[in-house]
Amino acid sequence: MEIKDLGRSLLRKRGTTVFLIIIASVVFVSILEPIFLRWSNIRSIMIGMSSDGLMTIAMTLVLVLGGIDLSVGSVAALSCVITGGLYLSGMDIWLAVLIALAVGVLVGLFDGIMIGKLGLPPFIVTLGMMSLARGGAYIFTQGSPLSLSGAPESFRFIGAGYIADVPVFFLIFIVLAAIFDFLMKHATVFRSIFYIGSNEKAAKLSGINVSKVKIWVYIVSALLATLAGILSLSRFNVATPSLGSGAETRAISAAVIGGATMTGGVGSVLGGVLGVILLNIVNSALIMLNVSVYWQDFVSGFILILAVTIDFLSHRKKS
Amino acid sequence: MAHVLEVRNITKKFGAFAALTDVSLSLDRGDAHALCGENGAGKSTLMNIIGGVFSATEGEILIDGAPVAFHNPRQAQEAGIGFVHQELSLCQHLSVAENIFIGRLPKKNGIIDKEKLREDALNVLSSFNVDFDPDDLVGNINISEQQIVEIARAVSLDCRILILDEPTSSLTEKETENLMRIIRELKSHGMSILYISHRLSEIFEVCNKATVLKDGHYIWTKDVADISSDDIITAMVGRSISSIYPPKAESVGEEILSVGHLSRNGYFHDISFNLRKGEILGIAGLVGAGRSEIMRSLCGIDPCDEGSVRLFGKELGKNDYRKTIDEGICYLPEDRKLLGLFVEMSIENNIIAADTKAVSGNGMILKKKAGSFAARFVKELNVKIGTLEDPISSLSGGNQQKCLIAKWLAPEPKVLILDEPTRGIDVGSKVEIHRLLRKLADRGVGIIMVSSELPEVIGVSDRVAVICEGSLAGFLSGDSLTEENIMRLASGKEAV
Amino acid sequence: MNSKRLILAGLLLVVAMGSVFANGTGEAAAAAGTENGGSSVLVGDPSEQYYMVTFTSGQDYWKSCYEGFQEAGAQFGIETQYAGDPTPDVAKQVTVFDQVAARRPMGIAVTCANAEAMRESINRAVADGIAVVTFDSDSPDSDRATYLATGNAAAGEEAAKYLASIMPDGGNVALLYLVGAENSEARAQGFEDWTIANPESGLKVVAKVNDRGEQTEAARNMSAQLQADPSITAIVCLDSPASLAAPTVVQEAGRTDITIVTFDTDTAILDMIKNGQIAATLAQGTYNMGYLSMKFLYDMAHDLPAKALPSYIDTGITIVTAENADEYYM
Repeated sequence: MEIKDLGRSLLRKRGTTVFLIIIASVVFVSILEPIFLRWSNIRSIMIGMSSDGLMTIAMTLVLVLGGIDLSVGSVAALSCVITGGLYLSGMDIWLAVLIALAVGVLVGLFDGIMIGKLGLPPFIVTLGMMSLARGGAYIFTQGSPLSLSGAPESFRFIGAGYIADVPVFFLIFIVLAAIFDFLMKHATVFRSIFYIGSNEKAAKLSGINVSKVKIWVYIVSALLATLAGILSLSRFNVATPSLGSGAETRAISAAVIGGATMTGGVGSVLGGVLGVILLNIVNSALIMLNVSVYWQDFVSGFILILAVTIDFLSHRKKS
Repeated sequence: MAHVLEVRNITKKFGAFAALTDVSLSLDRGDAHALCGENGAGKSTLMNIIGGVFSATEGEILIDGAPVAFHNPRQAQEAGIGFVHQELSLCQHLSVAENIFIGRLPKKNGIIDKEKLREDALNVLSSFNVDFDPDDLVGNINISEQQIVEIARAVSLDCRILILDEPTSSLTEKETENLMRIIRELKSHGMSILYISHRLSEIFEVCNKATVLKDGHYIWTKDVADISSDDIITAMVGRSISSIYPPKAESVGEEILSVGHLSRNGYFHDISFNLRKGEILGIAGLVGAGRSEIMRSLCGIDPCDEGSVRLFGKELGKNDYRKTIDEGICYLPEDRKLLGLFVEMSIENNIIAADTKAVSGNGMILKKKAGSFAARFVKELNVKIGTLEDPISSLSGGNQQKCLIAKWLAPEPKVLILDEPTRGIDVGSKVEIHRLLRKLADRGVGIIMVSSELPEVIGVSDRVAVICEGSLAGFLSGDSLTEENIMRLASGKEAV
Repeated sequence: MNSKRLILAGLLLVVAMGSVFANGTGEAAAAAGTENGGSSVLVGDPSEQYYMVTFTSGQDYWKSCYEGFQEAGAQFGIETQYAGDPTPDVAKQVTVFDQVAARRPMGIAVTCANAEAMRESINRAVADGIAVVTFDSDSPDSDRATYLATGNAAAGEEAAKYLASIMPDGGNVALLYLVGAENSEARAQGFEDWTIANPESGLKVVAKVNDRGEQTEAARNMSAQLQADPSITAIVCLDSPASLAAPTVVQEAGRTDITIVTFDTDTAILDMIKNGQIAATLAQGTYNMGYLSMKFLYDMAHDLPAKALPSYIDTGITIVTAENADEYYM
């Protein structure tokens, strides 16, 4: 009976449905266009999803907490331009990276204190931060993109390099995803996030330091967004203040496909990763299948709704 | 020898309002000490002070003779006080084991030791005789099972003093018996228990002392062996209640409602009964027998596969609750917080919720009409409120329930179905609600009452239908209407 | 609870200020200081105000327009002003324009996020005696005196001609831009029409790829397109995000045989021209638009021209390659 039980519990897991949908989509597209499975295509999909992927990890954590972080795209832009701008003004690039990370911590700390200590609604606080960070990026660059000429190879490696022909950007994303997935499932400190998201009052009453956990989650979120920005800088060799606009919506979609809810208490980083993969595969498939560019958004949205609905229906609890 | 727990001269003021005035009580090792009082008497406030949720304005708390001060619930927990709240404070998305050990998951280097967690949980649950698994999600088990998890958690905290606030309000007879057994066992191991309950029978079964509070004041503490339930009620209410239950119907009239062969796959099958004018029909059965499901399908909230429902001979279409309400059948759900009340909204808005048409014109709700409408019901049902604008959450459980009833009286129903109408409500309010139901029945409204509280079912109903595992086990009335018979039918046996 | 509200209000205030800040109400450089007053009609009174109003005000494109505007202003001894909303939001730009007009400047040069929406505001300003010209994006039914631009379609055509000149054997072209954006679509149309009318060039538009206005998206979609159709040998980027993403896309695909042509003269683009990643970029006479706008506004404000000025001025297009890239840095 062990295998049957394992099978049933696996089927019940949110991730399984998404995984199956991904497999189905890949099979479908590859039959029509075998070049979809070529390594160069897979590699290009990998690198294309990595920035969104980092932000999805962040968004999953925040959604499980019962909050939301609308500022991830803007914070990526801010860190990108800070790193690039400081480097262009003569600073060592790695020092610039450190400063950008420090700024990320400050952003997260600000959000965390507003939300965790003062109790302001996360939607509003991170919406404000979204404008603040984006505006900051524009001010810093006076609107123009900055190009990094002569950035050291070591820096260019992290965003544009390859190990065994796999993009380093992607590897960083996957490794972080694996780490966070493990922590969310097994580390006591991270488990508190679930407790708080599920029933904040109960969590508080049982001695969990709710505001401390909240502050840390927003710091981690901002750091992941910061990392996305720095790696994008390395990848493109250009610092743009318009980087990442719209990324937060994609991150939320991926996290929700992966099982997170807007009310908190549930979600999985692995699920979010599958969500990102699904969204990116669909995007690539539409282009590969020559779907008219005017139809692409429509079809993407349709598939998103389909995926979530199928999954929801297969999990509906007997009321 | 010092008492395990002693509170002296506790006064608690919220602004100008004194919730408790000069209350003292003491608890000894192995005591099960009942705390009685109407809603608003201050029982919860006192327990919250002992549990560290808030601090007293004046007075002191002593544990083993030494004064203590709790600034938060964690400190109370560490001092050995375990608190099982009436409003379940579980995390629905996490497993039973994770809920039991919330805040103290067993770990190795920061990583959760899942095996030990499961083992520990099984250990704690072993004395409770449960059907669920520690890895089940709390959200997937029913309310009574969830309550057991809550209690298990408190017990697992190795507390010396256990505060139980209405612990049996959603437990079945079997589970209540279980709990009583556990309490006795805990007592014998030296646990001291503070027990808040409106179920006097339980108090007499398992407690050795009782304290009565009224309006924040201490009335008396007596040994349970020396008193009767009337004594407690009189002290709580401040007046004697001549009989707890209103008189039954003298005669019944024509048939109002006729339910024929109602079935829903997986939930219940072949349910037939009728309801006559002037009668209160009780629906009894074990928790999980399917009573609420039957009522919900009857009303059209849930679908059904077969069967018919006739109101005054006219067959009702199925699966359209709005239509059913318009025809005159209303349903008051079991879990009032989740399903009945709009917790964030005002009293007025809650009362008008089911019949906004009566208070609107041109599609807009008329403020004045809504106000007088709500006020009328508040008066009729004797609901104690501040103003109609106050949030409904500010009311006590009993008053909230009255508002819920008011909401469903508003569309002037012909049949009113109430599911566990007095769960978690103080005796005084219970009596008022029972009286109200009888008044309504006398006025010609058909009343169906689903209840798990046997004394209530027997005391209030004229006739009782007993459901056992989705089927109708039988009807009881008159002399055959006894607790024993209900239990027998509910368990699949024959009545005597 | 009150302190929470206060903080919330403070937060919202910061957000509001943040958008104002990024609004770029940048001031001009000082006037090229001739003596004040003076007898020549070509020396303006320093108190005269001339404004340039744009949308998506942060973009480099407008910066070079403004540079022209500013330098022309300096010739008259005038300090010019720049105003605009950083988003493409039409309503916001109308608000900014109205606010500027309320200050009764001598002249306003405006590029319109939407022709219809701006019409009322322009007409009101003109009725108030303010000289108004439009540049780059017109409001043709309004009372503006002149429209200065390099047609986007014409620009697209130039791009096609140039590409044909550096790819004598022709090739398959992918157009990368913000699908649905008016100016990009016009450029795309111009490009494609030329290739269709000149089949002997061998250039063929085989793909139109959406960059969704952001470089990561641009990269994602263009990469996928390259994978789907490896026969593409040229990418023409019709806006900034596309231009910034294309070189990276080509590099990641490991292709050395793809020619990239872009639009606009962002510093980053110029750098990439100099290091060979981009073949050339098209500068749509933006300097001229600003320069000539200022000249026209001054003339009209001082009633100088005897006859009405032309209603349309073509500001020309330059192709920027590694040879002349240095001139275009700002």
